[in-house]
Amino acid sequence: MKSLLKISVVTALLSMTACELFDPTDVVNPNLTENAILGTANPMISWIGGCDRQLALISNASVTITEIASDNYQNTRTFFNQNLDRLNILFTDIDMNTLQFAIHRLREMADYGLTTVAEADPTTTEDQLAKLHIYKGLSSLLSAEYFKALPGSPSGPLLSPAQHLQKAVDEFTTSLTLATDPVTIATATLARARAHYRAGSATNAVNDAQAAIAASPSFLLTVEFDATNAPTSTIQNALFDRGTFDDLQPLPRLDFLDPKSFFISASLESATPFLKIEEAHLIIAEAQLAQNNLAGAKTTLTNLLSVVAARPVVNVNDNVEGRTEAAPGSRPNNNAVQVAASATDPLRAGLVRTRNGAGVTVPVPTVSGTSVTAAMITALANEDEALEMLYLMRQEIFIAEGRRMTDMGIRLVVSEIEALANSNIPTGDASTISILPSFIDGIKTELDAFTYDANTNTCIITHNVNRILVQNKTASTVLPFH
Amino acid sequence: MDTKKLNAMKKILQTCFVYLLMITSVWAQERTVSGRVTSKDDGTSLPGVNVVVKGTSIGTVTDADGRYTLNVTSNNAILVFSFIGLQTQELAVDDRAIVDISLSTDITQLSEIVVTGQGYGIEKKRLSTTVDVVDKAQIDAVPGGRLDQLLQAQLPNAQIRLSSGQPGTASLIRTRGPVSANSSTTPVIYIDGVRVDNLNSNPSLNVGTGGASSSALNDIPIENIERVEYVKGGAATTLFGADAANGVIQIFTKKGTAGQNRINFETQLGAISGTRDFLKYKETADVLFRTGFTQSYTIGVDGGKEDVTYSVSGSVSSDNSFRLANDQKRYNFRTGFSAKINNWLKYSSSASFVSTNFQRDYNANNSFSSFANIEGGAYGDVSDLDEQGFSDLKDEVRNYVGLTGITETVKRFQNSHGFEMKLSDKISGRMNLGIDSRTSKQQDIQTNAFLIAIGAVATGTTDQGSITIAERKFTGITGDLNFQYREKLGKFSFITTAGGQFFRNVDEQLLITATGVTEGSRSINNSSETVAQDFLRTVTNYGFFAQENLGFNDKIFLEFGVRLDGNSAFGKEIGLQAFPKVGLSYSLSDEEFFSNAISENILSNVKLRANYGEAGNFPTPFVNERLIAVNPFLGIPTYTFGVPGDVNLKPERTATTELGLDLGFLTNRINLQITKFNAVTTDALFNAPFASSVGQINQLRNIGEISNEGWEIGTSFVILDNENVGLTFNASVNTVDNKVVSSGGAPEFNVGGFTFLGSFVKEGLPLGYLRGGKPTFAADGSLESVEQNANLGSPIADRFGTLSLNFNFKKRLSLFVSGDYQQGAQGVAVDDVLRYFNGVQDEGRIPDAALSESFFDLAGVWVEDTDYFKIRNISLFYTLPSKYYGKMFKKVDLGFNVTNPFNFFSSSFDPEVTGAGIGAQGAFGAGGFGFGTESAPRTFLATVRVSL
Repeated sequence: MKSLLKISVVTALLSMTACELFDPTDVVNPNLTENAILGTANPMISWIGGCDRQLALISNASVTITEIASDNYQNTRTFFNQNLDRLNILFTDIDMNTLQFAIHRLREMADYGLTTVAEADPTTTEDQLAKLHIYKGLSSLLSAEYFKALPGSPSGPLLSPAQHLQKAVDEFTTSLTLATDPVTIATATLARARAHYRAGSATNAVNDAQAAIAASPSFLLTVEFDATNAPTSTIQNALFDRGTFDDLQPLPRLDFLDPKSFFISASLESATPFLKIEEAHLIIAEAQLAQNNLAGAKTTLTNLLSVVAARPVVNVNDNVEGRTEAAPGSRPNNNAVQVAASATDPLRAGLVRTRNGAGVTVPVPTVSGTSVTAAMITALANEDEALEMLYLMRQEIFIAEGRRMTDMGIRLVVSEIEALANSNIPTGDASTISILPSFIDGIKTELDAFTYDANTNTCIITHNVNRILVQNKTASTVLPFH
Repeated sequence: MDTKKLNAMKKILQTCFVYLLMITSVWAQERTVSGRVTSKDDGTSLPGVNVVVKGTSIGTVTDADGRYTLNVTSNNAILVFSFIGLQTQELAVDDRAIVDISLSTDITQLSEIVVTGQGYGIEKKRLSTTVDVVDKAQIDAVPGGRLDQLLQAQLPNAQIRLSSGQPGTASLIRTRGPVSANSSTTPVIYIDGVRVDNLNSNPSLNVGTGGASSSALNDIPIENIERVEYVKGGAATTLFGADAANGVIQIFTKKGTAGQNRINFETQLGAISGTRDFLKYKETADVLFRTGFTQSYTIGVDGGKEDVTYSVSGSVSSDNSFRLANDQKRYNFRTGFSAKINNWLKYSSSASFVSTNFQRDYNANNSFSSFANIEGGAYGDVSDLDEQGFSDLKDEVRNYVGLTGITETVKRFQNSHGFEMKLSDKISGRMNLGIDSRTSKQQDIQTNAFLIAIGAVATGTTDQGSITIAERKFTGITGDLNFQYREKLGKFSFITTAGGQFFRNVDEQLLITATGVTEGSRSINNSSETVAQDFLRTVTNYGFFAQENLGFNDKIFLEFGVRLDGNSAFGKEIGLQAFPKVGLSYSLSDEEFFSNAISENILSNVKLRANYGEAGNFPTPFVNERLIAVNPFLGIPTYTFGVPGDVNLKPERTATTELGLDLGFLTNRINLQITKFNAVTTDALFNAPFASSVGQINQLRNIGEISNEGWEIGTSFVILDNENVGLTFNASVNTVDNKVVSSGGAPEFNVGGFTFLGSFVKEGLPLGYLRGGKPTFAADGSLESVEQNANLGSPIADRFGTLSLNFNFKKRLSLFVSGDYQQGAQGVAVDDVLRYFNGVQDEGRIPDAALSESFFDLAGVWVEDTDYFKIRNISLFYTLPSKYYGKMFKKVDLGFNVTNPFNFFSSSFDPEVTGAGIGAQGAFGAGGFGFGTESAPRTFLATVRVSL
């Protein structure tokens, strides 16, 4: 026991001096706490940067899956969503949750920026607040464009698209009262035009569209990606990068517009257009057609052609992709092919590109492109023909931007996770069942279908969806001005 | 082996011989005594018995024939003969030149000793829990460079599955079902009392090679292991602390034994062959496989005097694998020694260094995977290829595999220091301090030439080369101090243990990606853009424990104890967490009335066990505080919400109740060990999502409850046991019924797999159950209906176990066969999903009329039962009689091993090769997604072991 005593004494003496050196409880979290961040200089700059980044995440969560859901792209052999290629829209589909989570998060980030960050950062400017209102508005706008219904607050009650559009309009309006920067003003104006358009409010939409054109006649706002630090562009991966066998194939009549996103360099990703002035012209033209002003619409669409023509075109080496993925020879793959929009439409040349061959490149419009010519516009005989052409132009101009599904009247559903975790949503709520117009439902498995005769170089697309949309223009989910 | 290596090896041997000669020459040679040691039980010769001249350091060990020779300096010399399991005997030499002796079995040692978490040996019968032991003989019978491979099919109650045949990949180790939805089922691992890195998944920052996870178990130093103990969880692990709920593996290394110095040399040479059993196309093997050559050389020296003993060993091994681009090399070194400092203090230490270096190919979910491309039908049905077509395919694939540049190197140093204090006859103490330092570096050099060869970029591309480097530095420090008091009062005996332990793990990671790399460069400096990320995870745990083991009449034992743990990963509102245990064991057969009533020739052992104990898993570090995440984006730091934080975050707690019965029949020739367990994890850590409208990422929360119930039944049959022949057969059956009892109101969440068919956590179903579309087909084969998100099965086996057979003939020839099996689990044939994309799907799986349906709807067709029975190892060893080598060697063993020779399985893919499926560092992975990578190969190894 004497030994024990000695050891205890020696150990105690040693411990007294050594404890500090061996303090095992000293653990420092290398990450930054909320207080640490709010205490930094000008946190608002980085917070708005975070919102920009969040918009890129929304783009990644929305564009690819909604392009698949539309007639623009077919998912030939990828792990991207295949339910949506058949318009099998399920509330259990994890992609539903990923997209709505990204949209909700943008709203929460904007709210936090407008309150907590603005309070912590005395250098916050009105233009910065205006931007945050735009982000909050975009969250509502996208909620309305993509979903049948979504909450507008954390675990809050469901809001209809109309309610979301009203919230969006309100936010853009607030933004305009604060903004002094011309780009911010043009952004809020065009975004409000888009919200009014979707709400069917023609007068307001046209006013804002005209104001936007006046403010910035070649306005373009893109979603940027970060090639080195992520997020990289999912749609670029889907359309061009073959690294993970992700490969989407366009409807043959849109072949000449593909791939809108492609590899530029190791440090630069293709940007995805998000708001562009072409939309203002399209809104005005559609409003003119709704008022039976065919001549006015023709003029507007012809003006639009010059806007589109001024957009950049890049020659892309698309040799690796080809057009013969799932079944060799099954897709049109050369300049000689003529494509008809349906069995009753004429064959048109110049819509399909030759991609394979040494040194072959394809010219790709990176912002907007269209196959429509001034002559075709001139030849339009009536409003419905013009509407069909207008919707073809919308399809072509907005390809790979995640807009077509909404134009087709399709709306996604509240996710299973939201439905289970939000007490405001009863089990089996209608919001968990998608909106699929009957005229789309009937052909949902044939949206990407076509016949191709390689010997005669002719391709006939099964359904001319633009014509179907016009035929059903009075349906509540499509052609908002009709 | 090349000439350089041969010369180096020769030099080492020569040095050792010279050293040996120097040692022996200093001993005075007055006269020689020799003799033979035999067994009193059966008269057979006993090799390896220590023979020491009492009071001196002069000693030797008996050779293969039980013979020894040593020099004594006096007629008064007394020889001490000792061997584990036999009674130590002393014999005076007098004037004899030949001293023969027979040793008896030591009855007192029949009660096996196991080592508890505090480092003290305790008789197994005092424990109410069970501990599985793998001894030196079992370890020697299995070749294998990594711990999990070594233990595979050796532990009756554990399931160990290797997720790939490629080097360094993760394994799945499970015992009583997964107790956590947040952490891997890999047990905590101690080497000589020091916790070591047991990460059995990819680090957070890693080089993605397509589903394959790297594992720190690949390079846990297994050099010089004397014994491994496996503690399965529950009450047995309570005193191990807040993350022992998955069980504990304790490794003890050699420190040498007193006596003559010994040199052991082992050479293993052999062939490695890729198994074709699980392949869809034999052409896959024809393109990628080859017969590899493996070689391994080990040298060990041990010995010492009464006060100081030592053991040193080193090995070098390499193989060029059974397939292209998988070469590996390994260097191991370990030293251990023990020194008696004075009459109450003993110091022991061990240190090891491991260096591994290997190549890996892409696999699994990656279009660069050569294996998955062929097996997945990217080249169509390759069995239809004509000679030219196959030749072209071979050239193409071998070309790009040859350009693959994935390497991984690991340097690992591990060190332990132990002080044993004998403070009085009744009080002893122990102090341990040690470190495990592991640095791993993964590198992927992706050249333009590779990308062009595989068709990912157009010919002529020059700007898409990249280099990715992931480095991880792990430093773990463990320290503990505890005291034990043993007392006997009448019929009562007490063993009281109390002490404290701390450990601290620091995990630093770095990921560097260089793009636009100039062709041919191996440095990130030659690039157009370099991006780096770091990662730090630190956790500190400190615990205090006390335990009492109370014996009555040496037959009934009651044990109870508690451990109090604090941990830096707990929320700030959470203080010390208490983990209690209590257990009872009763050796009924030791009662007089029992032995009077039943002959030991019929029922020789009856022991009843019951216990309750809690163990924990601490939360992921750094998720307890509300954080803002900073992300670089387009040149500026950007902010977003980080984890929401939880000030009440605490460990999940697994409470296990066990009831057990140990039976021995026919003087213990038949043994049966039965345990029923019920383990309930409360406050289970679920990384479940919030409603998406909350806009916040998942927060780890103590909201779940998981239950695992089952039986563990182990048997051993000594079929023959006489002086010529011994034959023992062991078998085990384990059942597990795993269920998520409650998800605390959280929606079900994904823990692995794919969008079309994932592994999920949902109330009422097993952890990681397989969820996807379940199709029903009409009579004409068309798709009639689909049950969306149906329960398609569970990757957790309902039943599993091991089988082994030991045969020996005249103590010279031994045959060891081991195997394991599982039943009742399901897995996904993902290779065939890839084939379906490519139009060459397995015949009959999908009716023709449904072939054009979405594979989301068809998901269920790819789920298969994954029953298997695999023979893991057959080893044959022969101890060469000394007449062939005279006195040149003490012992010569010749051996031959075959690993993975036979596979019997129900699925269309290897049910064991599941691509690990672990989504985040150290996270739970249910497995069950079998695809895209090779199975563990067959090896044919010849071994020569020589003792000098």
